[in-house]
Amino acid sequence: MASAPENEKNASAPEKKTLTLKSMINNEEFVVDEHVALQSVTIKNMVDSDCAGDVIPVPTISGEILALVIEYCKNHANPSASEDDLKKADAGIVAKDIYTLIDLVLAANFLDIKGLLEVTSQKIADSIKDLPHQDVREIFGVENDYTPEEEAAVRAEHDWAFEGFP
Amino acid sequence: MEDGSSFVRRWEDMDIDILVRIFQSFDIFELTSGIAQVCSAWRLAACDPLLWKTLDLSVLKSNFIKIPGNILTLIFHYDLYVRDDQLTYTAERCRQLKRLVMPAWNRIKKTGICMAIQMWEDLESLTMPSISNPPYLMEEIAKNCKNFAELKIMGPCDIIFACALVEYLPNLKVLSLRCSTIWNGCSNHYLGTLEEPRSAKYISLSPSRNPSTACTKKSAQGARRFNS
Repeated sequence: MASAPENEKNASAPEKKTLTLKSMINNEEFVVDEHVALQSVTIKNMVDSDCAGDVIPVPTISGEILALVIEYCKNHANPSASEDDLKKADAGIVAKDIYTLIDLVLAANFLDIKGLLEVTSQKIADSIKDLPHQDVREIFGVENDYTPEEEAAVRAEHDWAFEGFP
Repeated sequence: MEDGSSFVRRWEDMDIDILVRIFQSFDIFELTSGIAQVCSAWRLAACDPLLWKTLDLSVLKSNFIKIPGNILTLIFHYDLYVRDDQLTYTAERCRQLKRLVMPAWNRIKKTGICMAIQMWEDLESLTMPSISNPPYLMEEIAKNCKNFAELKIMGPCDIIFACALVEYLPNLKVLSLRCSTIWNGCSNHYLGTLEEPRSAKYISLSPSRNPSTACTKKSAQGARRFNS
């Protein structure tokens, strides 16, 4: 975001404030402008209640994912970005494999970033929509906790939905 | 970093709220197909009331259903057993409804259908199953729907039904009993008591097992079109 410093000149705050986010998974650190980081409601609450030190530790989110989250926040903190630009940028961020997307949706949920949560959820929904449930189990690492009888019962529950439809 | 073990650990952070959010874009078929079979937590998420708050029937095989919006015709799939709350929800969003086709209403109670009828002042046409106690419904229609003109009954049409029609809806333009078994004399009862038989433009009885077609025909001579 080369344009970020220029935008800052117009801002009323004379001094650019930054926050450092640190991934507790691999100790990677990211220095970001405060207004960028504040798009996370979780971080905003920490800052507002003076709980944030110089370095904000982010548990359970890897550096790789945190970088994506920050990219999203930077894009959306840029007031000159058009809606089209943002859409394209969002599409780029979520154009990842399903495993990265699951990490990303968890991160968006933890950091409470509504827009990112929405685009990521939608992307995951689109990816799993047409998958057989066995594949979904494998991808999500979900253990099948049904007994064969229960599974048959669940299937029977929805059989009507397929009747008469190809 | 995407090794299996760390991934399974992270799955446990995937709480139901996130799953529900992911499922929010699913339509009725996607919600009721594979995802409930993944595991019990997914089934729970797929059944979350948030996902069923809006009952979008537009994916069912009908060109007519579109909710929300100012729709005039609403046709439910014959296998879809709508509940009272779903019917009320639908009625509130289709105030201008003129035609309702609802072949299955075993799960609808008297209060549910009456509340819906009260909201549908413009209702003109109804396709309904045979119900055990029809007078209250006919009365409700007569009271609320000034332009009501067409009734199609699917299921046995007995003398109580005929009497209810005579009492409350004597001026139907179309009465279709094509999918009915008519009890002997019922159609005569209705047609015979019409003060102005010409008001019935079209009475359809054909494939129904009707033991008294001949006399019905006679009674319905005034009708402009009689299909048998």
